[in-house]
Amino acid sequence: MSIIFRLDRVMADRKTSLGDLAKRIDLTDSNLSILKTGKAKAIRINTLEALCRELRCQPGDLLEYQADETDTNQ
Amino acid sequence: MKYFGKKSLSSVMAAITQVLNYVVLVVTILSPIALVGIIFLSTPYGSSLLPIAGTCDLNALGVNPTDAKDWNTFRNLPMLTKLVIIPYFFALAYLSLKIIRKATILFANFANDIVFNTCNVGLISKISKLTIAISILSFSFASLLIGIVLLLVCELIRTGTSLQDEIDLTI
Repeated sequence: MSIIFRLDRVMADRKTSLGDLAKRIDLTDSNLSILKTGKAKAIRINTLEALCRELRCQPGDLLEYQADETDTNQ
Repeated sequence: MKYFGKKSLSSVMAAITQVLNYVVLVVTILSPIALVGIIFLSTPYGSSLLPIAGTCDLNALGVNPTDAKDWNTFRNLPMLTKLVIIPYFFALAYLSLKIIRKATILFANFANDIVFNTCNVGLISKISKLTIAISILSFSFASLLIGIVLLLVCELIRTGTSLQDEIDLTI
């Protein structure tokens, strides 16, 4: 997928554990793990909002677009 | 009425198909003996052992006229045609058993609230193909229609499964 979720990087910068962050944003550990590993297919606005609030960052810090090879060829 | 989950129509159907599976299995095991017996009775030698079987006027014995006519038609068939009935019966029994077993698993999944799942898609797809195979073997238009409807249901469940995946992976 072209959109990469940089949650692991931001969490490492803030020195936050997965379990702790999951509790603070009212998500289960497994759901946050899905986000962290990039397996998620979509993210709700309120989840993104909670993540930005707790990690004190912007959505752009969490999400990154990387063009596919097929996209660059076009 | 509850259709999925515990104490629902699906759980009842799972139990019924489980019992039906054993009934069909027992019938499949016992029927070759009955079939061989019937074929033997339809031969001139068998008719001499059991005179009733050779009687053309079965109506007088209180047998249903249609059954009596069918029996006479069967008696007049060539031996090879009569013997073809055995593998034909086994093919039908095998397909029926496979359908019943897959239906048991499917209903058990429904009873456990597992509806939109790739496993169910595969099961419904196989059941529909087996139903179409049975309809071809038994020349049954109704079975063919059921098979086609099941193929459509399979596509619906497939679409539902992809939607379910998307919902499950929306955080």
